Amino acid sequence: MADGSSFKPSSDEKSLLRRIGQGETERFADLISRYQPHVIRIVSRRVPADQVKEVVHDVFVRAYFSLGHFSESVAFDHWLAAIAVRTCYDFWRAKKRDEVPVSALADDHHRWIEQMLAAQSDDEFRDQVRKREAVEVLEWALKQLSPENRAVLTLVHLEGRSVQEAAQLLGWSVINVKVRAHRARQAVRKLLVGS
Amino acid sequence: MQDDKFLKLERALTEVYRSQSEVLPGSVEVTQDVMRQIRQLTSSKNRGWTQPAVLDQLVWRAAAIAAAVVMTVTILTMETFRTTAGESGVLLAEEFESAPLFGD
Repeated sequence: MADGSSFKPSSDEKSLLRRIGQGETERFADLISRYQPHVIRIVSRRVPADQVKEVVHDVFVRAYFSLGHFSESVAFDHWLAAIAVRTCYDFWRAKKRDEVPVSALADDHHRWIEQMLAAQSDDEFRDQVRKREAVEVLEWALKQLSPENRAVLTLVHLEGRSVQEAAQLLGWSVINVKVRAHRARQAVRKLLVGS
Repeated sequence: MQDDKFLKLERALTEVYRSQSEVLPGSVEVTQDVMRQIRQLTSSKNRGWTQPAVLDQLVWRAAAIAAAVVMTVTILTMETFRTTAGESGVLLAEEFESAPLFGD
């Protein structure tokens, strides 16, 4: 149900949402229990593991105070996913403000890139993907990007979502997402292979 | 050449992203914390909304009362002046009338 697939709110869910809207605040706990796994799945791919709980918490608080804007014509899980994606984007925006500049790639990361590029077979390729350095290079590259480019790159290139879907989730125009997706990819290219 | 290199790296990083282990849904539980914060924020918001409303009402009522008092005082003052001015005019006229015009 709350596995990321879209669906219209059921009558039971509609009545739950209506009751919350009419002031039965405590009923919101039922919605949290129902959708917590869905939100955790989205958030845990976007923020560091030790920050997941805090961001998931923020997503539900935001969702509660935005319930007035929820239209029943939209799937509730999709609406909640958009709030989760935007909360993660805000997390990186706040982080960017406080962050010290990230250092360059370490020698073992450069070595990993060389080994990855030298991989001939599928098995070699998969072995390289499983290495700790692979995760570190990905994290490093994402950290170099602006929060906007990071959000778009994650949705479009890493998760393989359509530009339209990414635009809907971020609340941006399709053109903006297209331009950013291109720029973000070019930025990563420049970071990893130079030109 | 650079294109091929980048495409290979891009494919690798996409696989890294997709194969990263997620935080297990059961390991994070936020229901109680979220509900606690919502209760706090809701009550502070309610206070936040009612306080200015009550203050507004008080200010408007006080202003209305002050305006009424000022108007009453103004009207009374004008009435008093008008009466005084009228009386003095009558007295002056009486004085003129009672006084001999040509001295005898």
